[in-house]
Amino acid sequence: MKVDVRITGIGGQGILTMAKILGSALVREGKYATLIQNFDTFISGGESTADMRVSDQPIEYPVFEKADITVFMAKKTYPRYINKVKEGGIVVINSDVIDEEPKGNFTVIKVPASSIARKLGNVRASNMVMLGALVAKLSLANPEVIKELIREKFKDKADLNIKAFEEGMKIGRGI
Amino acid sequence: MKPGKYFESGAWAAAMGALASGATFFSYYPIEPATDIAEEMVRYGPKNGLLVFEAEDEISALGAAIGASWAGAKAFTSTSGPGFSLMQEHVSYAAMTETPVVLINGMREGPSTGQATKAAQQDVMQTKWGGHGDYEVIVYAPYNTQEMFDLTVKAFNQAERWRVPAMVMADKMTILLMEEVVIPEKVEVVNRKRPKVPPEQFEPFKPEEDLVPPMPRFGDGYRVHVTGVTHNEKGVPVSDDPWVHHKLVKRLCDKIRKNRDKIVEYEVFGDEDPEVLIFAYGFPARSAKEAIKLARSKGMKAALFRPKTLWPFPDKELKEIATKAKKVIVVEWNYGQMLNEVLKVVPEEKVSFVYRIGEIPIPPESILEEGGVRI
Repeated sequence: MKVDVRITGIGGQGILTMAKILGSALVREGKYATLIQNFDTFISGGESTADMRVSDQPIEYPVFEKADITVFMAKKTYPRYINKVKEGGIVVINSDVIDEEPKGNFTVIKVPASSIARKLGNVRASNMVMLGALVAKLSLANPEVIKELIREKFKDKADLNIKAFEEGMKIGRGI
Repeated sequence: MKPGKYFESGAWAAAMGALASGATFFSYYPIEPATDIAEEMVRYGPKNGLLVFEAEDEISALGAAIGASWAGAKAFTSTSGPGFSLMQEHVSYAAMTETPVVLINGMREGPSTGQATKAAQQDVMQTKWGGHGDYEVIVYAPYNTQEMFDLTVKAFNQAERWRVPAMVMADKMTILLMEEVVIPEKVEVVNRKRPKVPPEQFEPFKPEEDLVPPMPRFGDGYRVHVTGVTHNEKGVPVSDDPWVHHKLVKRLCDKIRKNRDKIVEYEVFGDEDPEVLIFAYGFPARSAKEAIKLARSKGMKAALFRPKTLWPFPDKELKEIATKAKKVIVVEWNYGQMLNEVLKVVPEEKVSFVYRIGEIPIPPESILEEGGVRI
């Protein structure tokens, strides 16, 4: 098993947090993951991308160009990475911020992550909605382990984030 | 940090390695990509009894670490590119004064400012030849997050053991890449030798059999003149007798050269009698390892030779395995640096050089193809 996952958006959206939680869950389960962070020199508002390679074997080379799964959290990185989705791959978009209709030989999952997170009380939890959809759709990692990690990471803000994650999972399962 | 398995960055792993080694002083001046290490030290250092000092520049940062070391601290600094150039005068000073100190360098593209957030391997010769004068340092090249921990620990131990500057040559990729890293239950920690005689009998630069003199700490009551000027075994400056200089500098080099077998580390991955040998270190060695797996899966006898210590260089070990190989591919993120060390022990006609000058990925297939290997 080897899957290349790319999560892309802008600085401040919690791209890295999302990727790190996923990676930590995989490692905790005895799988292997590598995460390459790419970001602009801005703190907020610049492009932010996390390239994750996931495998059940130790990973030597973590670099890839085209991804099996690409998660788009913002419009800004959409043009750059929509052409770097593998044939037959999966595209997950935050449909509240990306109005384009992705076309190509891949499956598209639309997640209205911003509105779900806003309804729950904080738009900043969009990343956890997207993570939920991703995890449920691909059975990449054990959701219970992810929730455990969300609790460790967010502490007193964990409840909202766990709820956001669960809402995302519902969408992921429904497709 | 609690022992266990983590999904973390190389910067985090290096910081944990430093703390596990007993580091008590860290100085730095902000510069990418080394700032990530500084951030981890600011986050975890003070809680663990370590003093963090943000200096006014890199010259001061290494100077402060050297001073802290003489005050008894296990001291280190981290920097990158232009900052590493600025530190060279003090690398030379630390070598002359036999000060244990650790330097973690996040190699980035140069010359000069280059591309500040891109990785490279362009400082590997500078580690050995950057400062003035003859001296020896110990230099590690980690290739994954685990080695950012393990080799940082070794750098501290070797700096203490031999009283030399020890360096960890990381780069943006090894610093930022996150993956599994295991913090072990127990870490072997080496501390510098202390004087065994009372202050009135103590000669501060008189070596023991291993060529290393015991080191007192400021405030212990031992009189030491710490100076970059040539000094005799009593630590008294001598500017008029070149033989004193000859003897001192020879010892500074010999303590590493004569003990190189105890220091040198490398990995051989693959066949013991390879047809094709790839020489790579640091981040590009990850691609090289994959290339070896690929070649072997097609029935070819292939191996990776990966130095973990760049200095001392594992020349005789490389020579032994390279003698069996028909082809040796050298992979670097520069325009030919360690290549020249390989060429000292491997005939030129066997060697091909696959390089990118900076952070351009070299996929495993490209290494084989550009190295002239058909699979």
